[in-house]
Amino acid sequence: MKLAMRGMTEMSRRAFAERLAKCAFGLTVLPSGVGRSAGGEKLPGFGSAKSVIMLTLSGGMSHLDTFDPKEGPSQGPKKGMGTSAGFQVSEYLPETAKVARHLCVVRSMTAKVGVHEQARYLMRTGFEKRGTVVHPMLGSWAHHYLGASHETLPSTVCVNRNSGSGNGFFPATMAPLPVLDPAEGLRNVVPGASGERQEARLALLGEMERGFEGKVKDGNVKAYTEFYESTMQLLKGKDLGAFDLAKEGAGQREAYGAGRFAQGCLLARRLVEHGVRFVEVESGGWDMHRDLEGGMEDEGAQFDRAFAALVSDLERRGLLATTLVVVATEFGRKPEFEGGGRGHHPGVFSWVLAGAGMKRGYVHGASDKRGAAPESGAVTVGDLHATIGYALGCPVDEPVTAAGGRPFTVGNKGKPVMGMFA
Amino acid sequence: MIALMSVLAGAVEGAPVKGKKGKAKKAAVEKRAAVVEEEKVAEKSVEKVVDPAGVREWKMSGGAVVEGKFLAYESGVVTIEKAGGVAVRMPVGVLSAADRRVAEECRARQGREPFSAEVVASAAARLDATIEGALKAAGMVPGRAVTDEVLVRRLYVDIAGRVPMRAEVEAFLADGRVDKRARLIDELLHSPGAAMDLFNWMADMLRVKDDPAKGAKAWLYEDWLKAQIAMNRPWDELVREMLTADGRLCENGATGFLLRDAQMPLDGVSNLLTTFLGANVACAQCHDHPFAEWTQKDFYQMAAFFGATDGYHEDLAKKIRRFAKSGAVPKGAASQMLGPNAFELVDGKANRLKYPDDYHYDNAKGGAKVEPALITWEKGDAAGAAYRVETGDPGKLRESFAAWLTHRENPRFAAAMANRLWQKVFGLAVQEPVGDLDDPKGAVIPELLTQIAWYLKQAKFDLREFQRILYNTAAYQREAASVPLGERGEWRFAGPLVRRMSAEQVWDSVMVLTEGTRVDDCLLRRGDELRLFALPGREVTAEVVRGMMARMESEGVRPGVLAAGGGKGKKGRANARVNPKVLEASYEGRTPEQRGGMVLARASELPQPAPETHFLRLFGQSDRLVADSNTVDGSVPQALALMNGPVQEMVTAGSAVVMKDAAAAADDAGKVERLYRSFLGRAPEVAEKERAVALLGKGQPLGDVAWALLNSREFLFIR
Repeated sequence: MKLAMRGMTEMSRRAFAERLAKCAFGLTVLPSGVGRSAGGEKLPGFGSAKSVIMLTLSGGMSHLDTFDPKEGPSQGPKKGMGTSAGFQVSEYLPETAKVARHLCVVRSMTAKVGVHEQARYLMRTGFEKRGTVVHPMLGSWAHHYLGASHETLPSTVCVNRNSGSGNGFFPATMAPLPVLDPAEGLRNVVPGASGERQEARLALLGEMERGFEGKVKDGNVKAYTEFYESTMQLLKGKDLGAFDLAKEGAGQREAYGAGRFAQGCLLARRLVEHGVRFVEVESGGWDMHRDLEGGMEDEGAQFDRAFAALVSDLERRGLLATTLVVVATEFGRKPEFEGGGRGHHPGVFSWVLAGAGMKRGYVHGASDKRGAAPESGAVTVGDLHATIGYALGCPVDEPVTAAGGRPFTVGNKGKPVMGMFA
Repeated sequence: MIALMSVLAGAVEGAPVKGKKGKAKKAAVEKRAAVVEEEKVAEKSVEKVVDPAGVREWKMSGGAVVEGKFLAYESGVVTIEKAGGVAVRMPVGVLSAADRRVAEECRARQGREPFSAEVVASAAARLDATIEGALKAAGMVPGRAVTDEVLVRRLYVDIAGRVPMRAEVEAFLADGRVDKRARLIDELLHSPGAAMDLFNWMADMLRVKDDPAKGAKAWLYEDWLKAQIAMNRPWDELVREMLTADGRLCENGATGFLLRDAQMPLDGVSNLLTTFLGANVACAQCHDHPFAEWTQKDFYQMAAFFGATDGYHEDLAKKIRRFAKSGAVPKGAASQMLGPNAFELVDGKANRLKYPDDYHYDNAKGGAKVEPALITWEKGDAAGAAYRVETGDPGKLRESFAAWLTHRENPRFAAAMANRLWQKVFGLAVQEPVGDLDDPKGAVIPELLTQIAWYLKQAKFDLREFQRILYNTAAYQREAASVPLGERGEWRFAGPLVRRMSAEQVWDSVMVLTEGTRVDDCLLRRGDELRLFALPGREVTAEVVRGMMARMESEGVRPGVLAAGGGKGKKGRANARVNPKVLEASYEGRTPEQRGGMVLARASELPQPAPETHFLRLFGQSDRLVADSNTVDGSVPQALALMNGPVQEMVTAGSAVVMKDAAAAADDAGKVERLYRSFLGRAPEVAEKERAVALLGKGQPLGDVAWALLNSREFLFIR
């Protein structure tokens, strides 16, 4: 129902208008041949994802204790266990093991930065952090190429984190809407005054804004005006309930499990169902330098249950075919155990993709015996960003020229990994 | 502290006094009538002899007494050192009139001379000459000089961390003296707000967090850091103490900086080099740096200075976990009480750091021991005075490192901080990003970076004196400019940038509009209880723990309730009401009000960081996980919070200071004028005033005009 709306011509017109506006912003677009072979035939996977749910595990998930378990000296507190898909996951992920047939596990991710700030930036934007340039997150790239995904709802939502690493060099209309606590959803939606009084207040505010904008021509000031406009639109729309977890049954909420990440996953499903294109859900606490066991029992278990519940729930509703679920993390962790945990290790780590045209029950690439370096099929974070962008139907090789004259592409010239598409 | 609290208790008129509970009932000293009475008495007993270095009894205006040595009287805060070396911050307002004078006397005798006005003016002029030269060379022109009306608001926000009150704006505008701008800068730099704003800024840079790791509590560190800032401790001394401190997190606040990264010492080194020196070694931790000269070996050699130091003690932590599980005392209380003990800075006999097993360069072998060595940037560096520090003593590795890092002649130490402060003042650093100064050509005006580094050294790393120079430049006092992101690399400081207030500045402005300047008297102080958590030895037995609990009981501290004081239990709700007793026990000076589940104190005097869904976080306060991550981006939830949330209710309520002030005006026009001054610092234009007056004429409440002003972009932005 709601999904069908996205095909409406109204949206296309809007996308067209936005593209024009972008040109006015100093962003130019070039034609692209992405998604088609040299002969012009449509390639698999392009546009297979209508929406993306990106689960970002910040702190750096240990690949060795989750999706890339090893025997021998690198083994953690728990062993690997078999799955119906034929590959192993750690015994820390019993629920995930049950949905393994839907997953495309990438065991050959590799990066160069091993500190949180830079690695987190890379995970979210696909770019290394340099100079004064601020790069956008994937949701904003998609917004740029494809237009808004809904008339009143935002196109991108970030759950459990603030809106930093958001629209980057794109206009503020493409910024994510942050939800800091999924259980509370969107707060403060009821006006403190009603009817005529509210109208009068808003009119007075509007006059003030016109005066200030006349005096101060500033991009950030303008961005704030746009946020107020989006807010008014959102409040007038009929889809505010998309943010309200109270509308889910108690059984459903329990199936995902307690905790902000788990409930965030449920909220992500609700939002995608209502037409939000890109939802990021953050999970903290993965920086397990010590007490990895305790950490995996807490954050690990919450992730396991929620991720498995999300994949099954999407599948049951027929949404997995068009929704790409991504498990992303900053980097992996060292093969050596030290002080009850493991140190940072960007050399090799795992991400996971599920749904929307990806191969299912599949492992892409491999790490070496110790789990220290990629052995085959190395994939960079930029490549994976390009892969996701491609799945969304973005012309990922079409450069955008941001203010300042430099061209940028999704994942910093990342190449979609075609072998992952079914 | 506890003693202080119990004596203060007697001062509280009508406050509930229960048993021996020491800390529970100080405060409320702001009752004006009582104060006036006290002052009359005090007049008669002014002390004639003052020994600035001696221990004496400091009397509160309520009659309470603190025994200790005078440390400093800065920014409206008197810092007193009690027995055991604990620094206590007191708002000057709670001291008796006589002791206020004693504090002034002590300060006068300490004699750290500030720069003269002439020195500041000539330094500012030199910076201006450099900027104007650079502008000219680039074919750009300086902005126009800014009006007093715009400047006064900018100065209050930038320095004191909040918008000015109406009376403050009017006093400045009415001031006819030619040097009134320089005077206001000095006044603000000495105000309590300046210390609070600087703390917020540093807390983002240093990733100050109440719970830096499982079991750890940083309250004592926060108290310590605030006291250092309040005393205007020179930057080199402050950093040196942070790098060389010994002891437990629950005993010595200065250990908090290194213990922030106790479990990941390599990251800690990488962080501190980035923060204090602008040396981007983040990459060198895993591989050779792609641009700068750093090699992975360089990084390990630097890290080796911390190779003898242990911060986190797994053995003790295990004992504590086992004990907590044993159930001898309630589990939660046991982990909360004992957890911080596992964090202690202890130096072993020698550095033990080894190269990683997978080290893949041929300049060292994997698994081999690393020899500590100092990095250099340019060829001549090693000949400099900073490099003459003795690094050979394996027992004094941290001392050697700190001596080099904070040395006046360290090639980057002064430049890194000067550049950061320039960014704070102008909205953009001379060289961006502030954490990476490795490229010597990276500064937009290289000469300017050299100059400001030199002035910071001239100021003997006194951050206040240094900032004084920057605020007095003509460049700062020009019209603020809007520079698109992509063009900032070319900006040559024709003026400061138009900026949104920081999250803390927005919140603190809301605080002062609601509560008035009395909000500056609420000083959070939670470290004292933490000292009671210190285990007498390394044994964890039921007997020892029961002994500790008995002592806490007698001191009136319940470990179970401290989490509420911290404001962030597992539930982490921003709008949960704090137990009033806990609140009272956690604040020095004055106990903050609570409204709509929010504690009305300034951002620096709230949990660090504020809970996830607090107004502060919504407006971009950092999560304190990564350095320098405060943001000023807008969002829909921000708009919703200002339009419909509890904050707008609070500010527009009849009881808010700003509303009472406006309501007292003679007519509607006067009311509107007052509101504009309070929120925006300026008078309304004729058309604006007419519109608002017309609205009031139709019976719309005055709060609606305030609502619109609070929601206006002009309120959020500094120009």
